[in-house]
Amino acid sequence: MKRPFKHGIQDHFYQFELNHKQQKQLQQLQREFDEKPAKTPIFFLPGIFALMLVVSISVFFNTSLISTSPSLTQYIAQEAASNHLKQKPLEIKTSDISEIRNYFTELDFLPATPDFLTSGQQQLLGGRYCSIQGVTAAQLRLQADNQHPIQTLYEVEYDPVAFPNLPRLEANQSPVIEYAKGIKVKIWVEKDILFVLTAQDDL
Amino acid sequence: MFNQDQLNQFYRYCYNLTQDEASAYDLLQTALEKYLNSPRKKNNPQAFLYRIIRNQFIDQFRQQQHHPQEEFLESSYVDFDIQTLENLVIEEDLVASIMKTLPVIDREILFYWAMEGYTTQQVADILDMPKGSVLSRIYRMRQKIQTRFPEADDQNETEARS
Repeated sequence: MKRPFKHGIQDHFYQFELNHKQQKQLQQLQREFDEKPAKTPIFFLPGIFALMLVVSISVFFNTSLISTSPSLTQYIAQEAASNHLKQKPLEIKTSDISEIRNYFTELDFLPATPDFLTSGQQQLLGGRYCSIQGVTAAQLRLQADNQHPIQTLYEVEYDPVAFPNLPRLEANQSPVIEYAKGIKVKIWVEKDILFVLTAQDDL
Repeated sequence: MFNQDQLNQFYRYCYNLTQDEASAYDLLQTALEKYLNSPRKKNNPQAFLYRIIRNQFIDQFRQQQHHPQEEFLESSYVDFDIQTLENLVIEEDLVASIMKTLPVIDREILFYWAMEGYTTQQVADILDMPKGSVLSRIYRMRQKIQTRFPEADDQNETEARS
């Protein structure tokens, strides 16, 4: 029997539903996150005082922490470090930034070379798509030579609303440095791109 | 918190992308965790989770595929819009076969149109594509469906003929 295409599509999709166990798991997952903020005032009071102390000290010494949301940069660092440790296969292997630009057609910006790369000490190995905080990003791999560990550089179109108050190199501000999963992560804005680099201590 | 109906709708979108029920659930679970972990403000939670699902899918499942941005000649399809799909009628049992033949981006367009009732502009915004590219894809998709499945009719054309 013939019927409107739209209704056919709807019927097609309505046959797919989460089973009871899956529904329960996802509801539970949401509840766990919902309950987290409620605990904050009681159980994390010492942590809040410690944080206030850190912020106060930062203000006193005029470090870059005063203009940066700690939670956002920590989340970014966690995500970048996790992705770095996974070392998923590269989708394009090249040392040529122009080939990288041609590959990443689904980004709203052209991947750029941060200034520290122009020194030629780091060599580009290739890249793959990934995301940072839900925003599509280019993930590039770098290595100085075989003696040095591989580093991961993320490039995301900079949106000051989504990523507020991050340091801009053009304004002579220093990158934010976070540590996640034992990895040092540098975060900064340059050329209207948000860069996130899993860095070694000597960088 | 997303309710049962909303979670089912997200699951259908994940299935639409992965074409596999187990992968769809994995994708939804990963995306939901990312959403819950995100400190970003969520003015439109539904749209935000759709975006996370899509980006996660691009990251995990679709390493080598691209969505080429296509040129759209406004003058050629000046009266064309997503709503023209409303005129298409098909045999009930053909939908699954049609969906299997379509690329993922066309399936996404159909999902947002049929399941969410989005306009062409809304579909373009959520897919990060120019409106013209969406229109172009719809035009070609409809032609493809009518060529491969001659049983699919355009109600308007049928009425005009009779």
